[in-house]
Amino acid sequence: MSQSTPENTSVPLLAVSQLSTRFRTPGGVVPAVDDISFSLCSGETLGIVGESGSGKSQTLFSIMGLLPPTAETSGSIRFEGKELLGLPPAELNKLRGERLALVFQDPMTALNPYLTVERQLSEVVQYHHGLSRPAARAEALTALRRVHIPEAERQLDRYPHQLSGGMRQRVVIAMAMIANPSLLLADEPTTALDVTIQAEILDLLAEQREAGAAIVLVTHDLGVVARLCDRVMVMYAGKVVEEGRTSDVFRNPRHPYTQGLLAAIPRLDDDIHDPRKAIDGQPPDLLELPPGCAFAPRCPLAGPDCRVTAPVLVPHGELGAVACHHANPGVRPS
Amino acid sequence: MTPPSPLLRVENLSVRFPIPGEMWGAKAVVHAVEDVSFDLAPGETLGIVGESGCGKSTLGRTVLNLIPATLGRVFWQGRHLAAATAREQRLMRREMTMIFQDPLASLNPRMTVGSLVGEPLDIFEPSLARDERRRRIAAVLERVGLPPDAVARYPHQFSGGQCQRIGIARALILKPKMIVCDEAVSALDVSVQAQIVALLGELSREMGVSLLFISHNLAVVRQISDRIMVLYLGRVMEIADRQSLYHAPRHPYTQALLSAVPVPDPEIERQRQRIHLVGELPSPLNPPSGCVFHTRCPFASERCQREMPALAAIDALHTVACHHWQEIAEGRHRATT
Repeated sequence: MSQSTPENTSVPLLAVSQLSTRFRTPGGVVPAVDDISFSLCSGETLGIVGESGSGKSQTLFSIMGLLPPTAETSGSIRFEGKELLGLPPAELNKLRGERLALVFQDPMTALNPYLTVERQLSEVVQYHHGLSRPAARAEALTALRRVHIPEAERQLDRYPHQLSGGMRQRVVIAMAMIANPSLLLADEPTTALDVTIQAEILDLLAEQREAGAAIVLVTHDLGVVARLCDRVMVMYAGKVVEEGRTSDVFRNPRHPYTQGLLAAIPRLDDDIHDPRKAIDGQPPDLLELPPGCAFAPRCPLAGPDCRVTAPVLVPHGELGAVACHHANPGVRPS
Repeated sequence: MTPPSPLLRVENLSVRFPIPGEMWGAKAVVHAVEDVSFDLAPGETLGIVGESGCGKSTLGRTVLNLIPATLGRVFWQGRHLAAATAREQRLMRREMTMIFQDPLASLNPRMTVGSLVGEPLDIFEPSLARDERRRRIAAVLERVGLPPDAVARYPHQFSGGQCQRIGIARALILKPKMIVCDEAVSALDVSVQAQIVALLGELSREMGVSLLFISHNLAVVRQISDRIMVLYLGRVMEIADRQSLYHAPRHPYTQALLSAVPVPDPEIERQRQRIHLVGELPSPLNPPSGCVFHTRCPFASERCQREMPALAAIDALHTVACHHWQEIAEGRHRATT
């Protein structure tokens, strides 16, 4: 059930170019997403990682057109050949839920507490496919079975508060997948869940990918990226600092921030790591970004050039790119 | 003179919360913590892990006497906590403190960092000279890595990681013997989390403070703990030293938990075997018969449904509550780490 674009398969499913999203706030303009570009083909899974304020979630919300009125977006987001930026809301609504769907971090707030599971799910297909209520109920049941909800029929008539966190997130994924979208955007879909439930939800996302959906997964957890994603994009202060194939980036991280992140995560499978490897300092305040490279104040390799000019993303090899004046190809500092 | 007695001893502790029953039903009881026993030595860090609803936070609060125990006893340096007089309890309070999950929410926004950190001194050492008070606040702020000018600033002017440092300074200023850290780094970014875990580890070593480190994050717990206790539905499944728990876990639940944590390495991730748990977490209102884990355990037998397994010692530091741990260990079922 591949959902690739009908006209030309070499055209990426999603092409984001020079996307910037800024928020006007009383304190000034916050450059939440700053000139980022990436593309995604059908069936591909891209992980976007970063810490708070890195712009990873705002990138997703920009694609979905779910930004508050204080946001200004520029650049281009082409999805299935169609430009999403500036698309009238009515047209965007036709795409959302049917062609592209979003899974939120917190399943409780993503579900309407007043609606039964059936109503949450059937709304999507009634709206997009004009199904009758009984036909929509049948679709809802299929969707619940697809996400392995036990006793699916009984769950249809329950309300969100009667479900556990893991079940709720399954319902949210079922909702997202019910119309067979070609692109699934997921914002920290497992962060609120226990590890054993997280493992099940990640399996579920992998199944949606097998079924042909492309996935953009936003997470702070590099383990989740390692498990699920073909490619990874590392963001810092609204910019992409490194990208590439997941296996390449993890084996040979070139940006000092990526290296620091990988060193900072405690792991189950290696020696107890040396806490001195942790990155110093705090993620920056987007209202007071330093000139030059935003990571320079925390970077062990920063030189005078880093404090003057911001590095641009320079491609290397196949699919790889890094934005650092001192990126050291092939060497992982210890 | 006396043999090294544990700082904290918890004996057969149960904590149950009655909740209003349904219209005609009997009153229901949440079994938050059931029959938990452990010792905490001076300077030791005990990690307490488990998923939501396993009772780990309730356990931490009961140990601090913030929640009364339903059954069982908690001894602080040999003294029965619940039997202590108000005056004794007040003295104990000096020696045991807590660091909370949400650093900003746990600090009064209208107090400066100096008064927040100095507040425990005002309560316990009201006669302290002002200079000395100021000196102690400055010293503890420096120790946790905050700038000297933090004293006059307010919590909202700091990032999450720095707020957690303020919380640590507040916990440290009375030189406690034990700190209960309840998900103390869970809300922080990865890079900052590593800094705070490193700081807590240093402080524990330098000052000989014992930590009860409560977290759902098994990898973080591994960084800092000497021993780890795994809870499920309020009961202890396994207690072991770090090496044994992570390299030779014996309880199927521990094995499943460890196998569920993704490792940040795509090559390893692709080859890992996972232990799938079936079904959902049962309600603590109505815990399963026999072994509470049997409804989800891949190895459960008929005996597990009937009979609650006792904690059995594998060696001096390692105990496990499972009827079948030996057979599982001898079979080919191992968690892959």
